[in-house]
Amino acid sequence: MNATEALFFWSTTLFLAMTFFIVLLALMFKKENVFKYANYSLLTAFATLSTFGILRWTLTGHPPFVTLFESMITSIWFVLLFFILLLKFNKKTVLLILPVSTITFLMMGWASSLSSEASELSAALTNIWLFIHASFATAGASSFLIGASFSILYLLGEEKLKSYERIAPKVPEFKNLSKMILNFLIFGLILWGVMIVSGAIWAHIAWGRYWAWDPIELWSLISWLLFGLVIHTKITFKISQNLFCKLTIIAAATVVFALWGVGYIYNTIHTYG
Amino acid sequence: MKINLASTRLAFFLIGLLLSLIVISAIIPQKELAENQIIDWHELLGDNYVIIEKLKLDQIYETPYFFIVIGLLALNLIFGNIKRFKIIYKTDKTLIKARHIGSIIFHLSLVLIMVGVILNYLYKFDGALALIEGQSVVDNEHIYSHIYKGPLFEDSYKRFEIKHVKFLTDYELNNTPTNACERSVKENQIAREQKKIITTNFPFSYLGLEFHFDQKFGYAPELVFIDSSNTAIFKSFIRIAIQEHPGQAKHLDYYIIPNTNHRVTIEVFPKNNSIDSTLYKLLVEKDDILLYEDTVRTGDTAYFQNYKVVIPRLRNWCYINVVKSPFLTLIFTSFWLALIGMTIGLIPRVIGTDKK
Repeated sequence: MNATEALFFWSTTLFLAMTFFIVLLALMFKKENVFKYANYSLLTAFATLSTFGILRWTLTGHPPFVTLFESMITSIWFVLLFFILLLKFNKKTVLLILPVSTITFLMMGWASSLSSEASELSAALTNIWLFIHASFATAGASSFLIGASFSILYLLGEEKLKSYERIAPKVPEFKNLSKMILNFLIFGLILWGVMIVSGAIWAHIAWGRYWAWDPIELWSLISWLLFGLVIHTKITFKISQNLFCKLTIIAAATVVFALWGVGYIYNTIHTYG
Repeated sequence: MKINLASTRLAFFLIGLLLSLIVISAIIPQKELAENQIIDWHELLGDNYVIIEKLKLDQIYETPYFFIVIGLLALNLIFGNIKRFKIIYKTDKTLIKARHIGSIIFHLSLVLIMVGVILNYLYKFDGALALIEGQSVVDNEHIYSHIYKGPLFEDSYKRFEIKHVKFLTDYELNNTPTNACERSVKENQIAREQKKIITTNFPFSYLGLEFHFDQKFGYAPELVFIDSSNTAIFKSFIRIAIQEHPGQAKHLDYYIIPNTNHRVTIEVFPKNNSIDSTLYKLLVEKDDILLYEDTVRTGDTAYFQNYKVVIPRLRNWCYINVVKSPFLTLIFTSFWLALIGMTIGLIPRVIGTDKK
């Protein structure tokens, strides 16, 4: 990371932390008009992260998907993008900024611990499929992560949250919230599915094998099947929302492992191994 | 106990079973996949090894029960979806919404994927062959360093002859990060020849087979072994295998000279693909006695006892995957169908246009 990149990287981290504290302070001191600053701060974080991504893209000459660091940054970008779109259409979601800013802040922390050195593209990667495969992977993971972070909020309990006088007016309708969680999982399942399919097609073009049970392939299939089951438990079996949220968090953990954790344990043909 | 083949609970059970098998395969290194990772199960687990051996847990993806689970799941999905659709259709046709159509497309394409995967497994051919520049071979079982034939694969396809004409490096291909093998593939007997450059991501189809260059390449120095009377008793290009263990020398291999039984170990230190600056660590042993050890350049002569060893030339070799996946179109089409089904079935739910 050069100095300019570092500036944008750390200011994103800073703005995410600020977003979190602004919401917290606004709740504590019941300052209604302060909430909009949290929105501004989140938008600024999104802008600085976008700038960081564009800088990186121009410097390395390839989209920021190639190293573990870059894939994580892109995922954070997608989390922020999806959430900002949600905020645009659903005004009653101020409290949801808390879990989202926490999760993105933690991911920035993880990313900062990784090597940010740019890597050369290997021949197999110089292909349009890199763009398709990796962007769907990061977008899908982001969608699942948003679902999981909302689930954490859900598990805190509507009544418990509403028992705090200062928070109560900002607590979203939990019925809406559970619907939102399900929608993010469904969205993620489709994106993750496209990722697996495009990966299989690309693998066939590159190696002649559409599926080789590489650890990342294997774990992403596990998480796709798990999310399929989790969604069915809700739609078909109508299990309790609490259990559904817990299952979502477990399934999201396999996504995190599939995308970023596998390289710590296995040797994989995926470049950021 | 009566088992309802159409029930969603059975589907859950089967997917759970499938998931557990996949998780086991993630924990126990699979034979087929981890060729370099040889694990001594006897040492690691003692007598428990029998469990792994009997259930073939170290090659799950080739066991019958793996395919039986997939087959049962396919049946369950067919029955379950038809039954569900029938119920809605019989009660009230107007109740059929986009999500039902999408759901049925999705689940039946999953079935098609499974059928395609099983058929492909039965009929596929997959071989990897390593060729040195200038070398040409006629297709037969022995030329492949790795070969997989499906149980129902018929060996009746037309044989081909393949020649590695030249290995092109990045520098020769406009400095793009692509290595390529220029290959001439010839249908045997009939002199119909196709000369093609095979690059990563750009395979070449011929005779119903696909030829892929999968980026695995190495070096093949020419080894000349000269005896005391100055006659070359051995002269050939030797393929130096790629060692894949991290932290080990990458291009290191040995060769035993016929008749004299000298064991020559060569490690290649390639320098930007320039032959002049390429170094070789040369080790000659006979009957476990070290006769020579030093680093040489291309063209240098190494003397020991009454013999001489020269490496006059260096060539590249590379792997070509020869693949036949007859049901690939079915699998890929069903992939896209599944995604389309998922989108039709689930998006109305997300945007809320499919209220009950």
